[in-house]
Parts: sequence; structure tokens; C-alpha cells
Amino acid sequence: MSRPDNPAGDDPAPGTGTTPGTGTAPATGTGSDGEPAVGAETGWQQLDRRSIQAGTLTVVGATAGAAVPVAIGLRFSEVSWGWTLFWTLGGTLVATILTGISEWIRFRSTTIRIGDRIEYHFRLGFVSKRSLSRDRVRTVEVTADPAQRLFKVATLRVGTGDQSGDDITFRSIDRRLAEELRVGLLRRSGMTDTGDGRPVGELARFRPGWVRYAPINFWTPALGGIAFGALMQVMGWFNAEAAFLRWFQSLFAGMPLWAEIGLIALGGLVVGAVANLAIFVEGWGNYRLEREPDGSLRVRRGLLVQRSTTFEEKRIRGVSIVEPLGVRLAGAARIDVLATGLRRSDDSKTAEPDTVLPPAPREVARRVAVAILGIEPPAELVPHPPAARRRRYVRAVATVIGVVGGLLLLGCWLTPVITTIGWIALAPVALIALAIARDNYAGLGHTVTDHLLVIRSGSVRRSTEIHYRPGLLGWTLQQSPLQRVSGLVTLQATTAAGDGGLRLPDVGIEQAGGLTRRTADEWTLLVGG
Amino acid sequence: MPSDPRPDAEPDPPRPVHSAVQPDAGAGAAGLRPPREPVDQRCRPWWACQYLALFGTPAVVLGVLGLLIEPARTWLLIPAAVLLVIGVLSAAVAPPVRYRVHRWDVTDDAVYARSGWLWQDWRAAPLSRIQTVDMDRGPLQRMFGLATVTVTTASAKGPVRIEALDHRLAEDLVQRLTRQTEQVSEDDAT
Repeated sequence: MSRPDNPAGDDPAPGTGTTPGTGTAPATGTGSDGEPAVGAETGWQQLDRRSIQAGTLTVVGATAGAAVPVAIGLRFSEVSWGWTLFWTLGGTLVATILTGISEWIRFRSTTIRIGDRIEYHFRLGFVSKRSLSRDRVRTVEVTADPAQRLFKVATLRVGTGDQSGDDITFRSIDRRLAEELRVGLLRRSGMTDTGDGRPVGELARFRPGWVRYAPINFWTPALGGIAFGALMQVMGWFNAEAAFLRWFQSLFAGMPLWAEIGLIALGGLVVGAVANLAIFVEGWGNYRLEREPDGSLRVRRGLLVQRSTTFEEKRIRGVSIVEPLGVRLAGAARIDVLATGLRRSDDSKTAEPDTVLPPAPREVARRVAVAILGIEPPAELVPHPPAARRRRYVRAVATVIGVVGGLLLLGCWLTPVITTIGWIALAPVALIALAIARDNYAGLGHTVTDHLLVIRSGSVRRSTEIHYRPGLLGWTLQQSPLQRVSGLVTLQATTAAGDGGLRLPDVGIEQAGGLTRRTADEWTLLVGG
Repeated sequence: MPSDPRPDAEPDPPRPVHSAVQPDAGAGAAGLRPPREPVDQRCRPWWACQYLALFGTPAVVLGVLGLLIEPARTWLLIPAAVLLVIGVLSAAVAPPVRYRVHRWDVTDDAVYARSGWLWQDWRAAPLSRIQTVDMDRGPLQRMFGLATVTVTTASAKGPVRIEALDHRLAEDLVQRLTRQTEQVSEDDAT
């Protein structure tokens, strides 16, 4: 059946001359007729046909990757090479065929329409319809894993940025169409250059030197442990744990116990560091942070799976400069954006990533923060009263007593070895706790300028939250009985961004009064004077 | 405050008390002033009932089990007794303290509330930022003629909750707030 051409309508995207290589006959014959044209009113169309191949290839790759530890496990449980190959290759083949069929069925059952509304229909026995008005689109993400890149398709995900809203995912559509939609959906009519002096264009890009900050977090030992645990788990499938452990022990034959433990720990750290590094490089290779002409912030990253997240300018309420302990000691910092309507993680969806700069040298982070905000944040922060420092030291001492005392008690009850460990641990634990307490107090601070509110706190995870003043919704104030005695309060600035509040612990009461009075008129009633 | 006579025989809802608030020991001398209005007096028996229910229910369950199950009797009756004692103590001590701490106020610009007893919690929500105004009445609250008004803003950490208001006062408050926030948003829109 031939359908008449629709006029191109208000096509904002530059003509690329591409008609998406999709099927022309919609599976459901509803909606307006017309050739599917970019950016204009389109009829119902199907996803890109190549998504079948891309989806199948991804699963094949994953299955082949999983086949390797399975093969190792089978070999450890004395299965012959013939049977091993049969099970692994056979399994891969079956997975390929099944995936191919299911992808084809999904392709046939899905239709989409992009016009004033973004619509998605899935019909397979049951019917699932999602639709979203174009003006309500606030978040756009484009991702492409290696298989999708090979076939030049991509996954497009649009959302309203609202807490309960569902996102609509098109997997997969033609890559150029996805890119044009990404630009077109967020552009509002009449939006021109930001014009307020904020730089447009590239703000930051990946530098290979940044990988040195990647393994400095707690994931390094954790991943080492996880790797070992996973290996044991795979062995467990084939009841080969005993054989594997025997082989592992034989590697250390003839070494004293402490050397063996030391080597295993070192090995675990190395494995963890390598894994951490690999995850970082995959996640942040090809990283680029850009500001588009309409003011929105775009983060592109990913070596294998290319990801792209766009934050509309209206959503951005500020930035948060986060310095976890290891990264801070190495002289680096990471930047998360404070944006409204971030998708929370749920069973069915992953949380929207809000990091716009991976751990990078502090000077770079400062420059990028200024570029995002458009204003230079103040360097000096007002410190909090000495009572806050006292509180931290007291807490440190209490922790030391708790930990060492607990060990000593356990030792009296169980075995004197633990008591010895307790005494040995006293000095290092005390030193670390006191050092953290001092550092924590040094990090506490806040300030208010004409346009910004800056709040800094924390030691193990120090974060400096810089928030635009107009976006602040209000304050809440908590005071524990101990704080009442010391004349301190804990403030929380409420905002629509992030998870709703910016916490500032242990502020002096007069400081709290000044802070709330300056930034929230309604607090004048409570603050007095 | 709308004071239209109601057809039923109930007396008028209590008017908010603007003065005669005890000087408050919380939040330090250097000037944090609590909101003006106290909550309804019936909050004390209501909170007492809540504490008794909270601690009494597991105490009763443990006690019954202890009476029925001979061998574990001491192991079950002792925690039951402990819970009962805690419940009675909380019900006796906490409500008057909380009654002194809980305060609220509504002006032309904002809604205020202070709550808590050991930990104090002060909140303010400007009328221009209010998104919803809700009123809840649980079964215990209904028994005492009380209600809770919750005012939310766009922030997840921002809701202002005023507990233990007389329910007619709460209804008036909800209507008044809804009207005022509509007015404010109209002004903003112009």
C-alpha cells in the first residue's frame, strides 16, 4: 500500500536526507499517514530493523564471555574437552537462536510515534501503551553498546524527570535519528544563546592522567573479594571447590603462613585495582562535558557502551563538589550536578547518573564548577564554633573506647588473642579517629553570597554543595539535647534538587539565625531581631 | 477565620491562642523564637495512648505467650515486663514535654511548626512554595477529635507537619491555606 507524503511541517533539525531504514507498514494501522521524516509529524513506525541483530549480538557476546569461567569450572571437575566444548558452544548457540527469535518478536510487536507526543505501543497478546507530551520531556539519554555501534543504532530514553513518571525507552532506533531527537526534544522554541556569559561548547574532556585517581576507593579491596567469591561460586556449580582450593594451596607450598596471607591480600588488592581501573576506563573513556547553545549540559562518556546524558538548564540548581578521602588526599575532586527531577533507582530502572566530572585534579574541578555555575564560588567559608570541634573529638574518643573496649570484652570471653589484638589496635585506632575528627571540623563551613549558598561538611566524604539562592525552598532545623547544651543546631536547606536537602551539621545558633534570615524571609519570625 | 454557625450542636472550634505561651527553654538564649500557637490539649492523652499501644502490644503478646508456654516463661515474661515499664514511663513523661515543644503558626507568608521532644525539629514553608495541603486522622486521633495537617513543598525533605490539632480547626486551616496558596500563585503568575 502506498501512502501520500506529508509536508515536512516545522522541521527544526537540519536536513540530513536520511529516512530511517525502518519497515514502512506500521503493525497497527492507526495514526496519521506519511513517510517517516525526521522531527516532523510522523505516523506510526517500527523500531529500526537492525535492533534485532544488535540485540542478538550483545547476548552472544555476553554468553561467550560467561562460557569461559564455565569451561574452567567444567575442566576442574574432570569433564572431558569434548563435553566441555559441547556444553559451552551448544549453550551459546541455543542462546543466540532464542535471543534472535525474541528480538524479532519484540520488533514486530512494537510501534512508536514521535510527534507532539512521544508514544510507544507494545502489542503481544496484552497491550502496553506509554505516551509522553513533548513539552514535558526533561531528560534525554542516548546509549549505544558495541553491538549497537556496529549496526549504527542506539537506545534513546526520554523522561519527564518527575519522581513517579515512567521513562520511555526506544531500543533501538537509527543512531542519527536518536541524535537529532536528543537535540530536538530539549530545545524549546524561542530559546537562544544563554547570553549570560556562560561558556558554550566543551567544558572538559577525558585526560589519561585521571586514571590514577580511579583505584583509590574502597571498591579496590571489595572487588578483589568479590572476584574471589565469584570464582568460588562458579566452582560450586560443578562441585569443584575442593579441587580448586587444593590447586590454589599448591601454589603456596612451602611458604610460611604470614607470607601466604600477605601474598593473597596483595593479589586481591591488585585484582581489585585492575578491575576498578577497567570499570573506570570503560565508564569514563571518551568523556566530554559540553554546554549546548540552549544552555543544557551534556555529559558523554563510555568506551564500550556510549552513554550520553543531558541536563536541561532549568533543572540545574547548583553543583556538588565531592571529595572522598582517598581522592582528596591525592589532590582531586569529582563534581555531581544538583538537578531537580533526578530519576531515583527502582526495581525497574537505574538511578539517573548525576556525576558530570569524574575525579580530576582540583584545579580542573574548580574551573569546571565555575563554568557550570557561571559564577565564581567564594573560596573562604565561615567556620563553625569550637563547640562543634569538641563534639567531634568526644565522638572520636567514644568510638575508640567502643571499638577497643569491645575487642577487649570479646577477648575476655572468647580467647586472649583478641585481647592482644585489642591492645595493639588501641594506638592506631585512636590516632585515626582523632585525625578524622580534626579533619572533619576543618571541613565544616558555610557562606552566603548574593547569588550562592555554599555548604561544606564531612571528612571521609567531604562535599561542598554550591546552590543557587533563588532555587532554595526553605530550611529545617534540628537540635539534639547535647546540641542544646553546646548552643549548636543542625540545618538542612530544602531544595527540589537531588534528594531534597543539603545538610549542614553543628552550626552555632547565631550563625544559623544569620544564615536563615539572609536566605529565607519567612525565618525572620523564628529568628528574632 | 470563618466563624459561620454550624447546624450541629458542637461548640465552636477553639480559637488559636496568640499569647499566653510559656517561655520556652529550647533552642538557646541567642534568639530562636518558637512559633506562637500551641497544639490542642487533648494531644497528651492521645500521645499517652500511642506510647501504651506501641509498647503495650508486644508486651501483651509476649506476656500471653509466656503464660501459655511453660518452659520459656521467664524468658518471655521478663521482656514483657520491661516493655510494659518502658511504655508506662514514656506515656507518663513524654506527652507533657512534647506538648510544651510542639508549636505551630500560620502567617500571610508561611507555615511554621516545631515538634519533637528530646530532639527538636523546626520547620517553615513559605506559602509561595507549598504544593499540597493534606489532613489525616487516624483511628486514635478520631477518638480524641484530633487531626494532623501536612504541608508539602517540592522538596522531599521539606514537609511541614502539624500534629494534634482540633479537627475543626484543622479543616479551617486546610481551607485557609488552600485559598491563600492559590492567591499567592495567581499573584506570581501575573
